[in-house]
Amino acid sequence: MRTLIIIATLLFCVSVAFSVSAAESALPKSAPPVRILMQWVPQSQFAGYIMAVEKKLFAKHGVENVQIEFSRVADVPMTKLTNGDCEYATGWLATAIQRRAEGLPIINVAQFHRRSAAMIVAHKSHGIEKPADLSGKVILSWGGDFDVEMTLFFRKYQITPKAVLPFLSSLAPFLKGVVDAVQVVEYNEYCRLIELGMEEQDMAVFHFEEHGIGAVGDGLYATEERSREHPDQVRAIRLAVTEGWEYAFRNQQETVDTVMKYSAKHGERTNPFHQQQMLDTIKKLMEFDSNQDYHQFGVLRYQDFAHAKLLLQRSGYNVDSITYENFYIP
Amino acid sequence: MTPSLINEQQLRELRLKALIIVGLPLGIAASLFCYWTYTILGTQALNELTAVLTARTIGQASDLNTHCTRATSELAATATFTAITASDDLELYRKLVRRTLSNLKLSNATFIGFAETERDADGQQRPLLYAVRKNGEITLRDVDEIRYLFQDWFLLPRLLNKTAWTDPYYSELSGEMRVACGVPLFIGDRFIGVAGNAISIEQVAKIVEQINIQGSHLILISDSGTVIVHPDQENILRHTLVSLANKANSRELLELARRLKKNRTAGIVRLEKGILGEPREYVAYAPIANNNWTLLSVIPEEAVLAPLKARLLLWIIYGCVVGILLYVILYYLVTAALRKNLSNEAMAARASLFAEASVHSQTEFLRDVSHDLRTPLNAIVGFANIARFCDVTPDVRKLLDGIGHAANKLTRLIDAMVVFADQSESQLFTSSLSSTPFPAAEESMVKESAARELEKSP
Repeated sequence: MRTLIIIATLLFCVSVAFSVSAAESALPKSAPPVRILMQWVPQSQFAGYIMAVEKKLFAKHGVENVQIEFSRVADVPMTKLTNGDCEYATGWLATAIQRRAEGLPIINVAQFHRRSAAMIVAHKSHGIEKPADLSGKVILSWGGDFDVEMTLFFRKYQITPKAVLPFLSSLAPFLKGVVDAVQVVEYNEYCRLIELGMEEQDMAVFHFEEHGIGAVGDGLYATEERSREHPDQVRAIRLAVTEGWEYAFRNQQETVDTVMKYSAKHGERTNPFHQQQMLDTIKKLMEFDSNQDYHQFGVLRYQDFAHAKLLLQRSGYNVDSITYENFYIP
Repeated sequence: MTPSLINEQQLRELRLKALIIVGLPLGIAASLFCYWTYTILGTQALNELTAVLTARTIGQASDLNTHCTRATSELAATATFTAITASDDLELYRKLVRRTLSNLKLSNATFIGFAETERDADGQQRPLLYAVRKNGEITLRDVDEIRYLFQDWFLLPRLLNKTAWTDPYYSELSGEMRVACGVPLFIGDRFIGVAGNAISIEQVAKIVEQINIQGSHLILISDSGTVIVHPDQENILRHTLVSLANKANSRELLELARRLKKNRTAGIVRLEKGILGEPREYVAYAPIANNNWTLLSVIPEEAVLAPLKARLLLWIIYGCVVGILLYVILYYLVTAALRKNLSNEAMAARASLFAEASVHSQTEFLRDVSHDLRTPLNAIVGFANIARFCDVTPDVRKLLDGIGHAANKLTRLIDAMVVFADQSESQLFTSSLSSTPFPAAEESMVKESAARELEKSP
């Protein structure tokens, strides 16, 4: 009897093992991940991507296993893109043209921002009303990629600041009046200034865009190789993100709540008010209009490319070899 | 026991009358009292309460200010001593920094950084000296990253030339949220560095917890408006006063945030939509002088109004007691007065009846007497007349005539008395009914008639 039980048990175990291995072999092989790296931490700046993932819009357009990742301060998305650490990365147009000129094989696959978000904000109480008033003043600046527009702005108005100090994300020196002005992006620090109780009438605001030296902001980039080998995937990603943005602007409360969840998961300390303000500003920067031609959304306009290239050339960058045709895949 | 002069009906009417006389003015007085209590006294009491809440918050802010001042002044004193003593000897400086950190009584500090620049005679910038105290152990290290010079704890005191506090920030070094104060160090006029002292938000929250008073919730806001301490930990560093106002959809809080940005004062504001989720809240606020932070004390309106309601209730109870006592006394007095009045009237009526009855008895007596006198008198007159016709002597006849005359006179006199008695009764009766005086002419006529008859009698 005991022998019979042992044999039956063994037979059962063998059959279970067979059935499990059979089921595994029957499953389709999971698609390799498609990683899209955002150039900063989770926030409404990337709401279109977040909502495209949440609403399974990538899958709808036939791209499986899309993962969005967020950068830390030290990350350089374009380098990670060319190193193969991600398949797509977001970035500013002027930065991307520079990197391309430096030899990184990157290509623009979608351009969502149509205006520059960069600006200088100054205390009116410090006697600053017009750009020339910034001469002799202390200014906080992010530096790096932000330098192109600011340098041209200083040159245009012959501004010689007393000092340009590095901006390490704290707005306290500006709020305390220790510095006279700060270089910010409209959708983040400017919104933050409002959130910290500054009133618009107390600030002198210089949008680089309004002074003819703004380069459009966020776009989506891939390597040339990927755009060549997976043109359908590139188009599908662009469509999915476009729909993601459309969904985000049409369902703002849900979008802000979702961004807050991503933010919390990433350990960021932000609040819904800030994210809502950011979403509103991004909508403005993208010139999003629900009545516009759907296929025009996400297209890099020739004039935006040419303007950004011109600004870089004026700043002394050698970007002559970069053309619209070899930089952008329609 | 004397029989009551007032019957039940009269008594009921009397009580009703007293009730109206006393109750009506007292009711009006009670209404006025209630109005006064709720409007004037209520407003006054609410003002007092809110003033107390504001004063309490100012006191708490002052306590917190003491902590902050202690932290900065102790740091300034010890750091300056260290810097001056070893200004030219980096090794000695290191030793002194270590000793200073060991002896420093800043129990709340988890980290203290010293940094110095421009100390070399040749103008070369030396590396920053960064001291870290973690778990009681102090480590010193040279930092060559220029970015440390632009962190708030260094940059703010450097540019302001005075002690300055940073906004709260997340420290990757310790993995916690912190605020730091920095003290600029000088030798003479020469700036040599900044001594920084970082305190974890958790420790600030503990200090705030110590000064809290039951019933209120404290929120600490940095001078830029960022939330440092909040009953809900999730809000710390996430929210600002403006975003809290937006979250609560509170216009009053938004105005307060903007007002505080321009002018840091103490006061109190009532929110229709509260920060802590209560329908209505009071927010008392007071500045902390040392670092321009603001302490907010949030109290749900219910909690504010509870003592006020208790106070008003007490006033109303006092009012009721006084009112009832007043009512009882006045009711008693008015009832007594009314009863006395009514008794007097009843007594007067009874006296009148008695007088009437008395007169009537006299008349009856006179009538009876007259009747009783007349009957024998008739006999006397009759027998005297009969006797005259009898065979009597002239002398006797004369005597009989005399008897007859006298008897007739007496009869007339008695008749006059009867008439007088009748008229007197009639007069009394009439006066008691209509109070019309007896006609003087008739009275005198009767009196004269009676007098005449009496005079005629022998």
